[in-house]
Amino acid sequence: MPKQISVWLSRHLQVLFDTLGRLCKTPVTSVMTILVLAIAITLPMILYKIVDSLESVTANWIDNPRISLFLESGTDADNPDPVEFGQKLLQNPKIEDVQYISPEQGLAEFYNLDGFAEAIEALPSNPLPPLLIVVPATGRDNDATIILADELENMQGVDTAVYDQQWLNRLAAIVDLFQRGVLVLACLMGIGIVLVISNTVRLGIINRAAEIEIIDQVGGTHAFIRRPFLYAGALHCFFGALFAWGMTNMTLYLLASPVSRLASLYESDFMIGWISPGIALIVTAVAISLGLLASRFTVDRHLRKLKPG
Amino acid sequence: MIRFSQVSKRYPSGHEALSHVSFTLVKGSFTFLTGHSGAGKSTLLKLISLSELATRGQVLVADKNLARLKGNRIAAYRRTIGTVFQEHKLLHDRTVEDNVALPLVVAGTDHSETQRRVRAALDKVGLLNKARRYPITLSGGEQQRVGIARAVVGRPQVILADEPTGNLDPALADEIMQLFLQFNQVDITVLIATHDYRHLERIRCGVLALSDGRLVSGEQDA
Ligand SMILES: Nc1ncnc2c1ncn2[C@@H]1O[C@H](COP(=O)(O)OP(=O)(O)OP(=O)(O)O)[C@@H](O)[C@H]1O
Ligand SMILES: [Mg+2]
Repeated sequence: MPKQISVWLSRHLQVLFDTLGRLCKTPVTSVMTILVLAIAITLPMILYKIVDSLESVTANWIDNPRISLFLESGTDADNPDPVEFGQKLLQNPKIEDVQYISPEQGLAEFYNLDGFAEAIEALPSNPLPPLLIVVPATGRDNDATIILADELENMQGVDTAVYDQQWLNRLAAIVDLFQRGVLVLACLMGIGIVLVISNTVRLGIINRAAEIEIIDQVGGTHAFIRRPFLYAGALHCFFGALFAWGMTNMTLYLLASPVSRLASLYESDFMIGWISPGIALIVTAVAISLGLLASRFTVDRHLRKLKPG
Repeated sequence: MIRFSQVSKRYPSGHEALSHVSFTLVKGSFTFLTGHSGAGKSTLLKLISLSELATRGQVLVADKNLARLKGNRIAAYRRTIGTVFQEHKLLHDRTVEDNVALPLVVAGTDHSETQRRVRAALDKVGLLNKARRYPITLSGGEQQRVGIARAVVGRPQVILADEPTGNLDPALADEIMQLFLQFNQVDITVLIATHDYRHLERIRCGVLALSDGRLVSGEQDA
């Protein structure tokens, strides 16, 4: 038994190295084919990574809603002290936490943002009202949060209560749209892989038609004839996926600094990050499977012609 | 060993290359297949090597009805037949020894055994010193002998040869015929298509003569 396994293994290794040798013999064609595959695989991977990162951020925002409570400004006697007012709110069971941001703190934050410093210096006085950030205990229950925001707005000393769900909903819709885009690109990628491999294998068969005919004549099984083409399909896809992984991470690297600048304008520490090895592995496996499928289909179509007529 | 009963072969073009051919070749026999160009010699051999299927009638080889074979059985059957092709059909991007090794490689024979048998076969046809050469650097006769080595390396039960001496000088042609006779000594059934009638006079053997797809002389039983 071990002998059979070693024979089987050595036969497969031989085909593997033989196929690698053939790839190296026509380096320009091989590299071009692999790059086409890599680009087809890269596009959905990049979009996937962007959507995935966006989604984790929006999910965080949606799961942890905030109500911004702008208090009446000025030192009117009717207006409560913001800190005391906050303490009072905490007694409401529908409120989990309250955080006070004084006008001075608010201004300082703006000051640190790009492009705001000069505008602020031009102001005669601080226009910002005192702000309470309310963390509702309502969680994801959107309607309850809206009711709570209305209640808060009607309280004495409150100017406006902003619960910006609409903006979040829009963002969620955009993420949905991008997710659909990833699916579409992934399908196009699949079709691209199948077409590229079919064509590559078809050309390989034409180049080796004489060899195939002779192997068939001296008693080679169809599995034997098929094997090098299956390896060619799988190897192209393997290298395509490998290149795609590199290209995706390179693109993400190029996007990283503009994205973090953009994110800082939105007061977010949003980052795209890298393609994880797990995802890269799945993509490689899918690409190789499609490559195998496409080459198998293409060779079988040719093998049908070899049947004795 | 080989039995044709009422075999006809009509090509898709409509041409009937063989009609109602019946004969039997016993195991270990040595037979020449003769006939004018276009008589159907190659067609008859292709029916035995299962490159073509009979349109009508039955072809039995070693008690197997060839029309019934499917898939891997076809490949396995072909490994029991050694064919020398009219146009040598060698792979020009492989060395002589790799060409000869092909039937063993597809059969999954292990490496050392393959080496041994390839050398033995090349020795037999006198090309051992050219094992590492490429077919293109050999003469026509040498290429023909490579084809013969490839046909016998798998120890087939039957050897089919289509005009194996077609473009060789008489001395070389005789040498090659001697080779086939040697193979026949070890009980291999040999069928050779030729229109070189010289051999028919010199060698004691059976003869199947075709004319326009009909068997005009030979064993007509079955
Ligand atoms: N694939 C094919 N399709 C159609 N007709 C064919 C095919 N192969 C052979 N023929 C025809 O069948 C007839 C017999 O051909 P075959 O090749 O068997 O002759 P042959 O006896 O081997 O001749 P030669 O001595 O010239 O090799 C010929 O008339 C030929 O034109
Ligand atoms: Mg012929």
